[in-house]
Amino acid sequence: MFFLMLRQSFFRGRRRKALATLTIVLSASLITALMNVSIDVGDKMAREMKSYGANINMVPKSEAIPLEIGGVDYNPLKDRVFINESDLPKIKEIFWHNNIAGFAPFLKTTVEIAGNAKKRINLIGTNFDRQIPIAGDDEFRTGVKVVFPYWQVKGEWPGDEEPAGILAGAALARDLGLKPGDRLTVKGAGDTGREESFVVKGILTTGGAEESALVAPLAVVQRLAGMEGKVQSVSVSALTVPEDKLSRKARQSNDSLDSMEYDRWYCTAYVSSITHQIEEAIPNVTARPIWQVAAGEGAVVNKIQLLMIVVTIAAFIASGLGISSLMATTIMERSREIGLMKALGAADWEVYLLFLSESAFVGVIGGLLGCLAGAGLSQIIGLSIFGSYVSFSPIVVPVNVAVSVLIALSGSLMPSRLITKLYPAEVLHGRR
Amino acid sequence: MAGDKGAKITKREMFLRILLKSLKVRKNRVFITFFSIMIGAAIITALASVYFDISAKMSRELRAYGANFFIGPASASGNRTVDTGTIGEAVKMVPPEKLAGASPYVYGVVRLDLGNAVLAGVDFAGLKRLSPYWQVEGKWITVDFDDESCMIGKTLAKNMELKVGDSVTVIRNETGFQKSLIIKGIAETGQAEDEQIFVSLPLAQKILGMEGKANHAMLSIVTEGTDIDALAATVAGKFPVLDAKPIRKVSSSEGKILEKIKGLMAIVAVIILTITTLCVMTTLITVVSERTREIGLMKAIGADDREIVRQFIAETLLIGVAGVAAGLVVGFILAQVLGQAVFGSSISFRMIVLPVTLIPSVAASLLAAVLPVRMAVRVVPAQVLKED
Amino acid sequence: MAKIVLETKVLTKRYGSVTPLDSIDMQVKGGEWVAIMGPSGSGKTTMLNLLSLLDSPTEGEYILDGVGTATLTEKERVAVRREKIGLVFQQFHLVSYLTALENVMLAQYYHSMVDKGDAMEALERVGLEHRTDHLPSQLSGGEQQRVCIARALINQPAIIMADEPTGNLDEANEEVVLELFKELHREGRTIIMVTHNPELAEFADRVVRLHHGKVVKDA
Repeated sequence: MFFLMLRQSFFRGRRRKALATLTIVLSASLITALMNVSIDVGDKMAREMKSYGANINMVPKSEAIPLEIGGVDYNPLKDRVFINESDLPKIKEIFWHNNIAGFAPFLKTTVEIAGNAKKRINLIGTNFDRQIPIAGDDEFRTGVKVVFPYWQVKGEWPGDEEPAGILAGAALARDLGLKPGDRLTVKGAGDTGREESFVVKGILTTGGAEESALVAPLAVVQRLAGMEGKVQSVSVSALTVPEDKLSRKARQSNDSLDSMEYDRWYCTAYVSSITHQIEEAIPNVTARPIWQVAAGEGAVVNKIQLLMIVVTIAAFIASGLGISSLMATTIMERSREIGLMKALGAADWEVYLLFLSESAFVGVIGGLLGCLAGAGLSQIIGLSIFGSYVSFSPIVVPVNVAVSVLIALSGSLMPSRLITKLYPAEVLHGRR
Repeated sequence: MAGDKGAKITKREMFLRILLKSLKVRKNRVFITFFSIMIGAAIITALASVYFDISAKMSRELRAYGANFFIGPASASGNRTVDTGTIGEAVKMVPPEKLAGASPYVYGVVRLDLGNAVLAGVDFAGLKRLSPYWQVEGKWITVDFDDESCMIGKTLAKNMELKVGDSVTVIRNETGFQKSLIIKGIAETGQAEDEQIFVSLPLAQKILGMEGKANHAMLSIVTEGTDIDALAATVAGKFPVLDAKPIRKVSSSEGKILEKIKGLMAIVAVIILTITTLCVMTTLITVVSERTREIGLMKAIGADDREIVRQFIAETLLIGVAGVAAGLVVGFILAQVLGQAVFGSSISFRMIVLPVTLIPSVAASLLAAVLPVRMAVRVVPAQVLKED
Repeated sequence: MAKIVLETKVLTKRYGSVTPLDSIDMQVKGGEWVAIMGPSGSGKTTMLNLLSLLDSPTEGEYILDGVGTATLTEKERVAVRREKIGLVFQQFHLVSYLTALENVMLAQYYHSMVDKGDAMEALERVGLEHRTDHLPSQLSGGEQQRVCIARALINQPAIIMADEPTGNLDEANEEVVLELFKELHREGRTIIMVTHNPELAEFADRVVRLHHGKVVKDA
């Protein structure tokens, strides 16, 4: 009988109930979308933060302290140690290889411009946008274009495979009066120096020391400096999670972690665990976080995540109250029916049971449909803001359904109580 | 009763009387309507306030990335140094509330106990605000005129086997200057600073024999509402000896990030606006459609459609305006709570929030009132009245 | 003889396949008291709804006071109802948040001018001068019905239409209401009353009996 009544009352007031269900569906879908986005916003913003450039710097292990001021080396004669270019693909083979967004090797040498022997300038060799053979990822392209998205080129980028293309730093170009398309011949330092002829493809603005240097494909600089297969440093751009207590503890000393903490640290994409893994993978290098990027990123990502969470909670409360008042009005509307039920001998709890199970039903249906719609909506948000899909967190579904039901119930409870308290006669005669 | 005879009541008075009675006697419903409109308006106000303040707030947060502006000697002049006085004047051109931190730098090579290193003279107070990302073991030097202490880069410390609290002797061959300094802190940045030793600017100038000179200065400027390229042009124009430029790595990324955050907030705000408008509308629709019988009765005793619509709109408008007014107040308080929770600072009130809140709230309320009334009005009164 | 105020020709109402009212031809003269009787479902209420312009017929013609109603707009129908007809319902139908006096004044308000004195007089006439400031929920059924009658009278309509006016009342109240109708009849108002109470029908000039939507007897 109870189920018959439930079914009948559900289908009788179909239009109103449809309105209530629709509201819950829409609210739940929006909340689902918000929850999804706020769970994923950390990853998404971390990716956006890659525009700040590399967050890990990799150099050869060396006892020597470089004495460099403003790009000028005061200690050039020191014996230098180098990294083998052939070791670089190993960066993409570490535990967190999926989080390595890109890397760019650097080799710097001093050259003279032919016909201007006094002018000594830095020639930087690097990859611009080069395909690197990586096991399991045939399409991996990397270079300064990926790692330093803020580098600005007026003219065009040279190709990695054309040895004659070169970028001139903006400050240098101003000093020497260079324009895209100009030809330039440089001579390697020392008496044995070879000469190379280049075409300036573009003028480079970075706001850093590169502005007073020439930037050429790595292979050319290696040949010119007589250091085939060698690089001096590698800038790595990795997707990381913000620092927390564990990673700070790990930084003081790896030994201070017990084995469980160590596993957790190792398997979390902290910048420190990624540098650790790079050092494991490639012998004789030191990988250091560039704290300007790593720490700044952590601070900003944490802020945005907090913002999204707080806003989602606010939305939750708002829609909760909104749905509560909607449920309250739908119940109030049916006070006559409640009066009649009581007049026919229904106990209070039976009245509650009918109305609350109805609300719960509306809540479950609304919550489930809402999750479905919300999953779609969060993808629209992800695509429109970040240009990529938002990962769907399954946790959102039970949370949302439970909360929808809870909200629908709490909204129904208050007015049901108000009305059941009345005498049936009062309600039936419209004395509500 | 005789005294009442001939007591005329104008149509307007009667209209108001019906209106007030309807509000007074139907307290529960009126309260729920008011409440849902208030919640809606409050949420919209709070979010709009946060949204319009988000650029200001986030661009301050983005200062975590450190310096975004560089001032150095003009390359044409051939000088490698500038007067600290000139730098000070140039820094003053940045509005103080936009300047998050600034420090001049002077560099030179010195000999330490175990080898050579680059020595940098800085303004520590400014540096700490300029570079919040420095990972410091030990302590920052906080006093500018401290000429007994130094900070040292991590790699340098490791290679020279130095720890916090050790003392290190700094020797400058060219000037013959020699001084023993206590290491207050070891800094790690992952960049060139890791191999340098830091002392206060006056001390560095004395050690290096470069009194009154600096190599360059770094500034951290809040960019919201500031055109940093225009600032660079003004500074360079006013001081021809200076080269002023934004540090692209930081300044151009900042714009991109801010845009993303604003976009995100905009979408979120629109979503929440939709939710709340929807909830308010459905609540109102339910409240009004409950009264179809009343509408039928009014029609039966001679009210025409306009009359009924007018009464319901007036009623909703009254509750709506009260609800929105209360919502504005509550929403502004809510915005402050959000601001404190996320940014640790208050959200400023902007006039634009008013229309942004008022228009959707009132429009939603009216629409929500008109839709069911129109539906009810179209119903043939006989059908409504017959229902018991 | 008095002129005809109300005339129907083949008046028919259909809801899908159901025909609650089938080809009614009827004439009512000014000042006449007509009782419409019949068992439940015979079409009494439907007929009254059509006569009071609360509903429109599927077929047929209805002439009220010399005016054909078929071509009237909804607005004009409301105006006609306001001017010429006073309605009394079985379920009273008062606006729940207005007092007795205000409910009467509401009809004035929609009609033309609100006059508190007139409204008081109307309530006095139905014997409710001491209950003017009570809400409907504070009034007994009989009192509510009397407020309805006062409201129906307030604009001096030529025709009073009542649907089971005593259907929900006890005997004592029924008596009071009946007296009121007798008085209205003496004043020369046309009364059309749906009822299944033969005692009430006794006082009518004429009884129209309906069965399955057709007039079976008219005398």
